[in-house]
Amino acid sequence: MDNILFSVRNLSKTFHKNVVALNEISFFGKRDSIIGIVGPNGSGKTTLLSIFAGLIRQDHGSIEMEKNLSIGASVGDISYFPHLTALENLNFIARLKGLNKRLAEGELKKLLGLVGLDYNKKANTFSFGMRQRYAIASTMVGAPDIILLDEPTVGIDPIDIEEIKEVIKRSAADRSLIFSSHQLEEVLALSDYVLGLSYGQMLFFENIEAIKEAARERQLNAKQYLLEQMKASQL
Amino acid sequence: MRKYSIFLRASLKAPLVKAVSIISLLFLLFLPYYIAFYSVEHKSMSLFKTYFSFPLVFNSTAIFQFYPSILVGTVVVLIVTKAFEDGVFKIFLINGYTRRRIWTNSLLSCLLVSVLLFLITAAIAFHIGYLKTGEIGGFGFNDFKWVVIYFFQTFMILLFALSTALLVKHSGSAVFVYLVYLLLAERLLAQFMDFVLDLYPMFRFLPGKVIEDLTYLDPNTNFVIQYLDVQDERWLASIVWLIISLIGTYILFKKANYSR
Repeated sequence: MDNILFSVRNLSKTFHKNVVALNEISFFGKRDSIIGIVGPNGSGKTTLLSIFAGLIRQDHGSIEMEKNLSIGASVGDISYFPHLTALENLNFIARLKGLNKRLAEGELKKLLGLVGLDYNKKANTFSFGMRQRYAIASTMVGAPDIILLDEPTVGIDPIDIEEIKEVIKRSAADRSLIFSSHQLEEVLALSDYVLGLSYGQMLFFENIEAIKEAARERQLNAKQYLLEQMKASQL
Repeated sequence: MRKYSIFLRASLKAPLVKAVSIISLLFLLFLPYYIAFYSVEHKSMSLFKTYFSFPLVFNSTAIFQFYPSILVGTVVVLIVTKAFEDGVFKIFLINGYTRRRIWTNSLLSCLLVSVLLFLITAAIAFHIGYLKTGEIGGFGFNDFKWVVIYFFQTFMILLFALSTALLVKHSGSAVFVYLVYLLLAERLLAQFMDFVLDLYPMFRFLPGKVIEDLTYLDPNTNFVIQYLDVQDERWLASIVWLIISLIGTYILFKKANYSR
């Protein structure tokens, strides 16, 4: 298949010897595409993204991608120096990535403008919505090939959600973006591919068109179809 | 290491870390001068003049620089625990750093700070000695060794601070455990091992006891004399604690939960 940036093969993770967080998860990511990971709380979404970001190690399986590909990620609690401004925090990430401070500064200001965040705002004064905006901006520093976002719209008011959705759509240009959510509407609105998880098991990994087609065949809308798939897995 | 220094500089800007760092630096630069000139002269304790002249000035300066070292260790505890609390080590991992690289850079930072404190202490001791005697002396290793031992002591304290931060992780609790252990608990433990368990000289192997500051009452003058004592087993203790700290911090950095 063309444009494939990475392949995840048979990824498994068990915590405390018997709590299965992920079991044989396989999927792939293409350039210019968004993958939405959907599943209830505790389904393994964050664990999957944490393994992808290199924060925890899988027990089995692999993530295959070219060595020169870079990753930007915001997984779990949003990370920053609370006493620094939004720009200074992004600057820190830029320096870690080896970017020149002066050259990067203009780009970083643009990034913060893209997510609608004042670059002089101290991180310890961020509201919840601002934190999510900062998280998205932080993943885009250095224009990585793969972006990972863990529940980017959770706890955000409806107006901000629409703006953040727009930012996510724009962020996927020329890269692969993976985000997790337990909101089916959100996943259906944003994703090109949907990965369904439940209790660490992979329910499906489908192209959004295929999901809509399957829903049509069963005379359901896409949300009803996904909901049915997820409920069936819990039986 | 260059990238890690960016992290250290950013961490030092945090208000609490900055405050403790400034206090540490002020103590480090001025405490020996204060004791050598102001309080000693002021109280007319002429006996102490000897202790700030060559070669004993190295011993005396190293004793007082022990306390700023503990403060610098507090900065280490704060930086490392805050990095876990704020998820900054997570940013390192996401951006291609390995756990091992975070570990080596942390150790190197502790080593460099110990070298810096050693150089400052040596320079201050020379300066005070010169001001007291009007001559430059004490270049022999036997005289100078106290400052070298001070370097080991400081490195041990910083490694102990690093270990405490990695074990406790919460900044407030870690600072509490670190300070209470070094300033109080270890002294009580040493007394207990020595007098109750009769384990002399086992207490000398405790991590903060690489240098033991001994005190005794001079029968001729009735002054309390403080001096450093270094026995052969203390060098062994340094090496043992160095190995334990290296292996321990490596395991703790490897096993730490960065995904919060």
